Parts: sequence; C-alpha cells; structure tokens
Amino acid sequence: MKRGLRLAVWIAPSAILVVATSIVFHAFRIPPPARLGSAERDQVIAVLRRSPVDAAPPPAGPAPTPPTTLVVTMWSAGRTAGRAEGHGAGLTAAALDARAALYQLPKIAALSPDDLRAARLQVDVIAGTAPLGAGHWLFDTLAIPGLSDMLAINPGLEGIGAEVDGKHAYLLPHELVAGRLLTAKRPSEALPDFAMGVDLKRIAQLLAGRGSLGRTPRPDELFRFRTDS
Amino acid sequence: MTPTSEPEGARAAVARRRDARRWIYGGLDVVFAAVYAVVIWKVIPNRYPSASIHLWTFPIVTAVMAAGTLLGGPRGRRVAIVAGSVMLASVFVLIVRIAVSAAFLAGVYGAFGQAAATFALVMVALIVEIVALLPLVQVKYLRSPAGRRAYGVRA
Repeated sequence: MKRGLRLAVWIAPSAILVVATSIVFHAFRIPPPARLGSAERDQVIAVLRRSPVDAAPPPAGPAPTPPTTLVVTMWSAGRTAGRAEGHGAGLTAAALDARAALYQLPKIAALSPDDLRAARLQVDVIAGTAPLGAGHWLFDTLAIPGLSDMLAINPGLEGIGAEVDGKHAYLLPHELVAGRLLTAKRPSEALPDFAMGVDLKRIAQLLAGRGSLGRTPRPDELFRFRTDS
Repeated sequence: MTPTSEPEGARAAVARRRDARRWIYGGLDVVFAAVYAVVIWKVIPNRYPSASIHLWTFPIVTAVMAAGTLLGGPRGRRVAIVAGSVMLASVFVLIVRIAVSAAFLAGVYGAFGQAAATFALVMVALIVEIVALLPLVQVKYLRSPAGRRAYGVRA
C-alpha cells in the first residue's frame, strides 16, 4: 500500500502533465496541408478560367476526394474584384461551384473580357480546422487566462471561420491581415504602441456579413483553419 | 512524576530550545509572503479573476504557514503542514497551467510555438526554485523526528 502510494506520488504528476499537454497540443494543432500537385492546380484554374457562358462539360479531373471547400478571390487592377466560396465532392466540383457563384457577382459580371483575362485568381483550399482559443474544455479550464485572446491564430497562415446551423463562412488569412484584425488590442497601458490580439467581435460581424450565416456567430461557433493557396 | 520522566522532559525542552529551524523557516515564510504580495500587487497585477485568485493563494498560504510555524505546538505544526501542502498543490496547478499554455502555443504556432514552449519549461524551473522549494523543505522538516520534537509532538 505504502509502496503503491509512493509510486503514485512520483509518477502521477508527470503523467498528468503528459496527458494534459498531449490533449491540448493535438486539439489545437492543424497539420501542414498536403500541397496540391501542379496537375491539380492547373485543373482548378482551368475550370475557373472557363467562360461562364460556356456550356461544354468540364474536363475530367482527378478522382473525387472527400468534401472540399475552396475560396476564389479575383484580383483586377490590384484590387479585389470579388470572392466566392465553392463546396463539392472533390476539387473539380468545388471549383465549379465557386465559378458559378463568382461570375454572378455584379462587379465581376461588369468586367470586360480583356479585364477578365488579365484578372488574377487566388484559390485557397481549406485544409484542416481546429478550435479557436476558447473552445476546448481542458484549455478553457487550465490555460493562462487571456492567452487565447492575445495569441489566437498563426497570422498569415490561418484564417477564421464560423459554422452556424450547418452553414459556413470564412475569413482568409490575407483578409485578416489586410483588415488589421490581428493587432486590435493594447494589452499594456504602459506600452500604447504594442498591439496584439484578435478582434473576435469584429470578425464575427464580418463573417455574419458574408450573407450565408443568417446571424452573428457566437465565439464558440468560430474556428481556425489552414489553407493551401 | 517518575524519576525517569524528568530527564526525558528536560531533554525534550532542550531540543525545542536548540532547534532554531522553526524560527528560520518562520522568518523566511514571513519574508516570502511579503515579497509575493508586493510582486502580485505591483509587478504582475492580473485583471482575470481566476488568475488573480490563484496567484494570491501564494502569499496568503505562505502567511498561514508562517503563523503555524511561529506559533508552535502540535496545532501550529499541523497548520503549517496543511498550509505547506496546499502551497505545493497550488504550485503544481500553476505548473500544469503553464504546460497547457505551452502546448497550446506549440500546437498553434508550430516551430515558433515549440520555442515558446521551451521558454515555458524555463519558467517552470524558476517557479520550482522560487516558490516550491521553501514549502517543500519546510514540510519535510516538520514531518521529520526533529521537527516533531521541536513542536512537542511525540516522534
């Protein structure tokens, strides 16, 4: 009995630490995405570049993959002309869905054929999601308070999405940076120039404004995601 | 009183007088409690209730440990041991919190987060040295035969 207690005193603290850190690490880690090959990238761009009035069937693409989501941003003359999300079973299906939504946008529909040809397409394939800070029971209970607000996501690599009643909306990594949403807080009054921390309230409002959600998402409905751009 | 109990009682009284560790530990507890209180109040004030409550357990429990150590007697010894154990439990919870936060950083930030996690290990080592060492050795002393004698508890 005494020996068992002694063993427990020596082993239990280390075991608790290993288990707690392992759970939290794997809950928040998004493995680096498997990059698409050049053939897959060419296929996606070919689908997106096809004229919206072209009724010919799309060229055969790679074998279908698990449900895929991608976001297409069209850049024209250095500005964002429009963006659309596409969902489907596989890259080709998702690209077709995105294309249908993209060319219906008023700003893009108004572009001339020359402008459309010159426009650049940025495609972000959503690859992996994870909780956003306060969203995991063990982290919420034990972590140093304020850490999830200050260091919520990996800037430039991760975006923030929302899921409301089965519907999704996404803010891409470059949109978070461009919108100055990642350095919104002043953690120290003594250092007013030091800005750090995500403005989750504003991000939730922006996601609601995407149109598909229907309402402003709650903090627990937000998540992090990585993209293969 | 039997003749054989007198020398034992005298020996016990002499042992209590000679063991200065009670006063050393008590004095250290008072100093450390004051330092913790000043540091938490002035240097690292925290606006989060859970963190604030956790941090303030350190000076408060250390002060209770000081009171038990200096008051003496079996009751004082018991109070000091319980307070020391509570202090060690609080330090362990702090170490778990730091480890969980380091795991979060390592998970979110990859290689950069792993560097931050390594720094967290350094913080844990400092916390063990600065906060956990005193209650650790003090509780060990209080539970030792010398500690029991110093507080008039049968060894």
